[in-house]
Amino acid sequence: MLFFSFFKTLIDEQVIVELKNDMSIRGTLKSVDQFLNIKLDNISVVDEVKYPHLSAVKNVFIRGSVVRYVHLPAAVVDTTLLEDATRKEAAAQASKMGGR
Amino acid sequence: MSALAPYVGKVVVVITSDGRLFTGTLQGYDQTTNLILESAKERVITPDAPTEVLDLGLYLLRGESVALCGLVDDEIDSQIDWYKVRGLRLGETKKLGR
Repeated sequence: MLFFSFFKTLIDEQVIVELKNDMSIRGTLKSVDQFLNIKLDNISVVDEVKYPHLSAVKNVFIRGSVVRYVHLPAAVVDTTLLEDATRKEAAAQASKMGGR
Repeated sequence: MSALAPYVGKVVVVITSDGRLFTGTLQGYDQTTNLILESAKERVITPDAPTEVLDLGLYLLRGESVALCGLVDDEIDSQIDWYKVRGLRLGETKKLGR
């Protein structure tokens, strides 16, 4: 759930999603869900000449399972907050496992 | 939930995990991204030959094989002569053998 929450804080930011089929799509992050499926608005395909397939498309839904990377501007990420949240999550997971 | 609800009833472009391009009217979907496309067509875009279009009718695509579903903007789409479009063959999302 951590990354789901993290992506929710990035809604309305411009990101580039690199897919496992090597295509990269730039757009505004509009929506994310528990599977980390991503919806981008106002997209432009990086290297449109190679990939004209989405020329008529402005908004896309990208299945979480095919995402390789989400490139973000460093400025919008609060690394301290992320580190804290990660430590809390790790601790929660550890105690959950230990209790069994 | 990042739902596909706004796309239902509209013309969409679907890219599959094996690198194929489909277009059609989205009739339905579920949480695993299974899709129902009406009047589905496959557009085969290659770097050296005119675009081939294959008429498929009513199609169900299994969620596992869906990579991307894009909402088609009719204004822009009507201005494109797909027959003339050339492009790279789309890659696969899984390396062969896995």
